Amino acid sequence: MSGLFKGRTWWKRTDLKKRYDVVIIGGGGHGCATAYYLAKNFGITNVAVLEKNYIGAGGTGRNTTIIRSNYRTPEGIRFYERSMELFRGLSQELDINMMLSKLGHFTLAHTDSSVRVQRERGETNRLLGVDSRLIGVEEIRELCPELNLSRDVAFPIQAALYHPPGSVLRHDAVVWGYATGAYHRGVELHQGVEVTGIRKDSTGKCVGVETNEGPIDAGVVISAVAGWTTSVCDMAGVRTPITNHPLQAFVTEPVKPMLHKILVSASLHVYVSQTDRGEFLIGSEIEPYTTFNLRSTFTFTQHSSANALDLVPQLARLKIMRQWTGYCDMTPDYSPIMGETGVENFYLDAGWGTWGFKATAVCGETMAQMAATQKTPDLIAPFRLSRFADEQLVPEKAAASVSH
Amino acid sequence: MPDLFTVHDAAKVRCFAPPAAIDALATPAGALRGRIAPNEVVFVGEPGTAAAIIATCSSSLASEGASAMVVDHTDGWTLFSLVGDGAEDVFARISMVPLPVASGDASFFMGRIGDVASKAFRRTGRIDFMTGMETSRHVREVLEHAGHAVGMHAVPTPDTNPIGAAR
Amino acid sequence: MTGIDFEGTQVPLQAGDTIAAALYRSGTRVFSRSFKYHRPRGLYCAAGDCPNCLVTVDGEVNVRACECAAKAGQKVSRQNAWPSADRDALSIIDKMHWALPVGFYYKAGIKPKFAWPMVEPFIRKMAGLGFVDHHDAPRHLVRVNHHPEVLVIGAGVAGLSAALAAAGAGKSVLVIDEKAPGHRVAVGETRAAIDRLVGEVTAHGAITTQWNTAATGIFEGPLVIAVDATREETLHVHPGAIVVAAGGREIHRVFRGNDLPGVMQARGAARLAGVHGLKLGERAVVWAEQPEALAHVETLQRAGVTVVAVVAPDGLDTSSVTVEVVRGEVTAANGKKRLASVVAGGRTIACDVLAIGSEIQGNEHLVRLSYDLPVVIAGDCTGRHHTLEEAAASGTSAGTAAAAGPALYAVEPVRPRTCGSDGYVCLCEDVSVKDIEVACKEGFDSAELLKRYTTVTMGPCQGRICADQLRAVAERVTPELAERVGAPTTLRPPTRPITLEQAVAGAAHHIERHTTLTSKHLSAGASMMWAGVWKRVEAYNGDVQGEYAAVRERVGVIDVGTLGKFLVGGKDATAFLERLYPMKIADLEAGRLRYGLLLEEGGVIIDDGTVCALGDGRYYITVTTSGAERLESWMLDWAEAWGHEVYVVNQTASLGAINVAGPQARAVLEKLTSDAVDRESFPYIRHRQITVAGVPCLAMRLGFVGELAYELHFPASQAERLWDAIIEAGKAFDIRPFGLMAQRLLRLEKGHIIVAQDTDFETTPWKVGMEWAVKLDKPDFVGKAALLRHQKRTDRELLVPWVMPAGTACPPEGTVITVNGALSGRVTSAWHSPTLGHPLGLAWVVNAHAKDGAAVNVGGTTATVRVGHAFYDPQGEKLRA
Repeated sequence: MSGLFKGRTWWKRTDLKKRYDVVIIGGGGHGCATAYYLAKNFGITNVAVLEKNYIGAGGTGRNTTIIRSNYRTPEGIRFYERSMELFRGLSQELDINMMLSKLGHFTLAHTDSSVRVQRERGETNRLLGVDSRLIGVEEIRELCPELNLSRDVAFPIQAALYHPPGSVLRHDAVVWGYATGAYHRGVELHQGVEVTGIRKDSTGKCVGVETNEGPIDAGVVISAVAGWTTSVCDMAGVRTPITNHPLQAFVTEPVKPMLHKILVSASLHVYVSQTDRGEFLIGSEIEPYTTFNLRSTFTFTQHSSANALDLVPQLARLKIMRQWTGYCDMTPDYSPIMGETGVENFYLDAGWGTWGFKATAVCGETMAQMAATQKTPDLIAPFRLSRFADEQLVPEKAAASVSH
Repeated sequence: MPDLFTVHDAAKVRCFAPPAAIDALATPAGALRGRIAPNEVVFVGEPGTAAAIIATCSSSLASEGASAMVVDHTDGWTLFSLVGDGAEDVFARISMVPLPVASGDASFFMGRIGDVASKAFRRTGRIDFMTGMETSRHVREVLEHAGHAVGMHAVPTPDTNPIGAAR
Repeated sequence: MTGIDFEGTQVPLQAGDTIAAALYRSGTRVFSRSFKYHRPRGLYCAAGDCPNCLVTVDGEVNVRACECAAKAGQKVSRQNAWPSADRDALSIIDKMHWALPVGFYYKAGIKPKFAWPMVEPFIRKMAGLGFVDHHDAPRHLVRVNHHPEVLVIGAGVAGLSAALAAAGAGKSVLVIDEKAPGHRVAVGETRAAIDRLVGEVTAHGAITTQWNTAATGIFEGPLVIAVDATREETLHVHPGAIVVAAGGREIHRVFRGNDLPGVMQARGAARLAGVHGLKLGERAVVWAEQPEALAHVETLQRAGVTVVAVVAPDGLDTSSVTVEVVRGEVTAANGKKRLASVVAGGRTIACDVLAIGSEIQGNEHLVRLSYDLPVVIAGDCTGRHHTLEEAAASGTSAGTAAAAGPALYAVEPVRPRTCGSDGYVCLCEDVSVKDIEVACKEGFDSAELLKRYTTVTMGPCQGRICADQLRAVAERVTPELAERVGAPTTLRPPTRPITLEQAVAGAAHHIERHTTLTSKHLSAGASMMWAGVWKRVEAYNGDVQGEYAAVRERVGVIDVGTLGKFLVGGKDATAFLERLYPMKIADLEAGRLRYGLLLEEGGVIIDDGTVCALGDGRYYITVTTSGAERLESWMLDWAEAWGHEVYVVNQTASLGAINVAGPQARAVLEKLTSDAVDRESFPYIRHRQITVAGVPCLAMRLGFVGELAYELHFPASQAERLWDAIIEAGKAFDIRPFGLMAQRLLRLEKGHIIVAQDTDFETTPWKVGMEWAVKLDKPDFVGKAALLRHQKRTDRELLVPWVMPAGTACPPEGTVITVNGALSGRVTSAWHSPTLGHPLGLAWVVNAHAKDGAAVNVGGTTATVRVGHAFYDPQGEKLRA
C-alpha cells in the first residue's frame, strides 16, 4: 500500500537523440509492451517509442477491454493463450492494478450454424489446454440469469461457448503499466513525435526514420500503429492486404452491478459487458466501409442498442452517456500480420482489426524477441506477411469478431 | 384521418429496353409510370390489367428484339395505399425519404419505406408504395404501429379503381 | 394522491414544479451523494448539466430532478447512499480521502496477488448510481422523420429570431427546444420577449415547433436526432441547414468548499426563485462577475431570501443594486453538510446560499459536433452573454445565413480559462484541483491522458461542468506544454441523455421474409426456422424421421419458394453467363438445365444453383435462399464491368416453388397435369413448361434429395392452390410435406454440399471434389486465374465424406476430428442414416488423412473416410427414373 501515498513518476520527457538501437513507431499497448520486453528480457534499453499523439491514443484507449484465448485455430489459440498467461501476473509485474475482472465470457449461439462453430471452437480449445466448453440453455441460465433466454424473440439463444478465464481489465492501465515499466528501465517515450518517412540505404535496407523533429538513425524499426499501418507501410514501400474500417462503441451511465459475465453474440453482432465503474459497455461489428473518418454515427447507436436489448432487455431505459470510434486495420483472415516485411530491419506488428487488445502482452514479448534476435519466433510465424501470397491463411473470423 | 388499404394484385409490369426505347414507350391508359432505371420502367395498373399491359408493351418494344424484355411482376410486390389527410404524417413515421411535392400527376420515387426497398408514387391526397411480397407482413405491422399514433384506419381494398389512375 | 412519494413521505406539489423545486420547497437540501466520496450534494446548475440532482423516478435511474416535471403519484428516491442521502454511512469514504488520492485504484490492491479478486466485488457494488429494474423491457417507440429546410435548435430569443428570419426568407423551418420556451427564465423582460416571439413563430405558416424535444447529436447528413419524452417519439431531422441557439451557461467556479449544498450557479438560483418562487434560504450572497448576474439579486429577493452581499470584481458597475458590495472574488465556502459562510475580499460572510453569476460560456456540445456541416451558431451559444437586442440580432443574422445555405462550420479554438487553486473541478467523479496537479506532475501531461487518469469529464456531465477547468489547472501546472495539455478533449454524442429504447425507436430489426405458404405450413403444425433472412419450415409436428421416410419410400412435398430466382435476358445474356459461371452455358439448348457453382474472383464458392436455358437468348437461374439479394448486385456489377447489355430480374418473390420428391412423385403429378411427364418426354436434368392443377409452371427435374423429383416454379399467387392440389392428389400415396431438417438428411445421404455449412470463405471447387463443375478450357470466367493458381498447390485440407459403424452414436455437427491426438479437422454435416443404418456425413480433414479408407477419431469414435463412394444410390438410378 505504500505506493499509494508516494507521488509516482510514471514517465518524464527527454530530448530526442539522433540514434537508437530500436525505434518503435506507435506508443500504444503493443509499442510500449515491446519496449518493455526489449528492456526486461533482452537488456536492450537504447530504445525510443515514437508516438505522434499521446500514449494509448489509438485502439488501446478505445477497445471493449476483453481478454480471452478461446480462438478457433491452433495457431491463434496458442498465441492468445500465451498472452493470457502474461496478463495473469501483469499487475504484479508492472506494479499497477489493472483491475483484472475475471467475469467469464460467453459467445452466444443463436443459430444451428453458430452452435456448430462454437462446438468446434470449444473442442479445439480444450485440445490445446484452454478452459472452454459449449453449454446449453439451462447452464447459461444458472450462470447468467440476467440474460434474455426467452424463445419468444427473433433469434433465441441455443447454446454458448463458455470461457471462464475470459476477463475485462482497465485498458489504460495496461499501456500505462508497460510505458512506465519501460521508462524506468531506460526506454525513452516521445509523445508528439510523428514519423513522416522510413529511411533506407542504397541496398533498400531500413536505417531509420524521418520525423517532425528531424531524422533518427535506427538499427531496427518496428511499426506498431494498428489503424495507421497502411500509411506507415506506404512510407516503407511495403504492401499489405489491410483495409481500415471504423469501429464504434458506447457506454451507458453507471448503475449498480447487474451483469457479471461478458456477452458476445455473433448472430446479433454485439458485445455487452458491465465495467467496474458500473457502466454498460456495448460494442459492435466494424462499419462495412473503409475510411479514416472517425465521426460517430447514429445508425451504429441504433443497431447496437437494438441488439443489446435483445440480450438484456432490462437496459431499455438506461441512458447512453458517450459513444466513440476507433480504427481497425482488418486483414482477410482476421489474424494479425507480424514479423518480416521484405524490407530488412523493418518489422511489422499490424493487422489487429478488432482483436488487438488481448494480444498486447504476447505481442510485446514476441516482437521484442523478433527485434532482438532478428529471427521470427515460432509463436508468430503463422502470422507472417507472406502467408497471403502463399495462401496459408489463419482463418479466425468466427472467433475474432462479431462481423457478418 | 388517413386510410390504409393494400392492393395485392395490382398489375405490375416491368419493361426492360435501351434507354431511348424506354423514353419512347407510352404509359398504358389507367396505369402509373415508374422509371426505375434508365433501362427499366414499371407500369402499375388496376387488378386484372396485367395481360393487356404486357401485350401493349411487348408490341411496342418488338423492334428491340432480344434487347427488350417485358416481365409480369404482379405477384412480386404488394401495393400499400395511404389516402387522405395525414398520409404524410404516417409516411414520416415509416420512412426517412423526403416526399416529392404533391400534384395531380404521380411523382415516382424510390427508397427505404417500412425498412425495405420500395417504389412509390406521390399524388395529391395519397401516397402509394410497393414492397416485396415476402416482407409484406412486416411492412403491414410497421404501418399499423406508425399509423396508430396519427389516427390511421385500415380499410378494405376499394372495389373499383383502387389504383385511382383511370382518366 | 396529490403529491409525490419521496422516500416514503408525501411531498406537496405546485403547478409547474419540477421534482427538484417540489423537494426543495419541502426542505430537501441534500439531493445526492457523490459517486466516489459520497459527499453531500445540493442543487447547483438547475439546468440539467451537473450530476448533483440525479434521482430515481418510478424505477428510472439517473433522472435529473431539476428538469423532470413533477407529477402526482411519482415515486422519487435519492441514489448512491445508504441508509439515506441525509445520513450516508458510506460518507466515511470521504473521511478516508487521504488514502484514496487520484488514481489510487491503480496503485493499490496489487500485492498480495489474491487481494484484488477479494476486493473487487466490493468495488463493483459501490460503483454506479442507481439500480436497474430487472423487469424492464423495451417499448416500441415511434420515430418521426422531418425534412425542414432549416432546423433551429433552441427557442430562446436568438433561436426564435433565427426561425422568423429563415421563414421570412422563404424557407420551411422546424424549431425545437428541450423544454417549453422560457421555462427556465423568471418573469421579466426576457421572458416577455420570448413569449412574444413564440406567438409570432406559432402563427407563422412556414414554421413548425416541437417543445420538450432535446437534440442529442448532430451527425453527417446532416442528421439531427432529438428525443421528445412527452410524446415518446424520437425525431430524425434531415435539415438543409441548422441554427444552433442552445444558449449558454455559467462557468464552473472552483474554490475550497465549492461543492457544498447551498452553492449554486446564479442562473439556476434565479430559476428556482423566479420560476418556482422558492425562498432559497435565509441569507444569500450573489457573486456577480458580469452584469447579467446583478439582475438575479432582485429575483432572489422577491422570493423571500435576504441578499446580504454582492461580491463583484473591481471593474463591474454595481450601481443598480442596493445591497452591500464586496470587491474581489469568493475564495472559499465553509460549512459541514450545508453552506454556512463564504470568504470573499478578505472577509468571511455568513450565508446559506451562494449564487455564482460567473462568465457565460456557450452550450457548445452540439456546436463541437457540427464541424464540416452547414451549421450556424447564434446567441449565448456563440460563447458570451448577449443582451436581448444582441440576441435578437444574432438570431436574425444566423437565420438569414442558414436560409442562404451557410458555409460548413469550422469549430473555433476553445478560449483559455482560469481555475482556482482548491476545490472540486469534477463533481461527477469527485476530482479536486490537487488531484489534477498531482496527475500532471506524475507525467499525465496531455489533456486526454489527464482525462483518462483522473476520469474528469467521464461522468454524467460529460465535461459540461469541468472540461475547461481541467485544462486550466493543467496549463497552470505545466505551462510549457500548454498546447498539448490544453487541447480540448474529443467531444462525442450524445449531448443530452438518450436511452437505448429511444435510440432504437423505429429501427428495423430482424425482418422475417415469408413465402405465401407460411400460414398453410403453420396450420399443418410446422415449426419455422431461419434460413438466411427467410423463415422456412423446420419440420411438421417435429416428425423429421416420418418426413424422411415419406420421401424415400413414397412421396414428399417441400416449399422451396425461398430460392433465389432470376430471369436473365438482354442481347448479351449468353456471353454474360458464360463468363460468370465456371461451367459452360453457351452450349445449353432450350429445355436443358445445368447445376453449377458460383465463384468469386478468388475461386471461392459463394453459391450454387441451376441455370435453365429458356431459348431465345433468355435464362432462368436459381441460387440458394441466402444468396439472392447479394447476388443480384454482384451480377449487375459484373455486367457493368464487362459492358454487357444484360437484364437481371429478381423473381425470388414473384415466383413460388414447390418440389415434389419420391418414387411416387410422377404418379402424383400425372393426376394433376395432362402434359407428358414420363421419363422419355421429360428426362432428368431438363426443364419443361407444364400446367399443373391449372397453374402454368416451369418444371425442372433435379436431384438434390436423391429421388425422382419435379421442382415446379410458378406465379406466387397460385401457391396455395397448387399446394392444396398436390396434397390432395398425393393422399392416395400418403404424401407428406417435409421441411429443412428432413431435406438436410436426404441430401446428406447423397453427399451434396450446402454452401456455407460445408464450405467456408476459402473453399474452392478443388477442395470439395467438384472439379467436374469447372471447365478450365473456357477462355475466361470469374475465378479462373485463381483456380489455375490453386491447382498448383496442395490443399491443406479437403472436404470428405465419412462413415461410422452401425450402432455408434452420431456425433454432433462441429465435432473436432483428431488423429493420434492431433487436430485433423471438423465435422460439418452429420446424421444417422435410417436407410443405411449408420452415422455418416461430411468433414474437413487435413490432406494426409483425407484418403479413402483413412481412420480418424471423431469425438472418441473411429470414423472412416470414404472418398469416391456416394452413400445412397451411387449410380443415381432413382434420380433418373
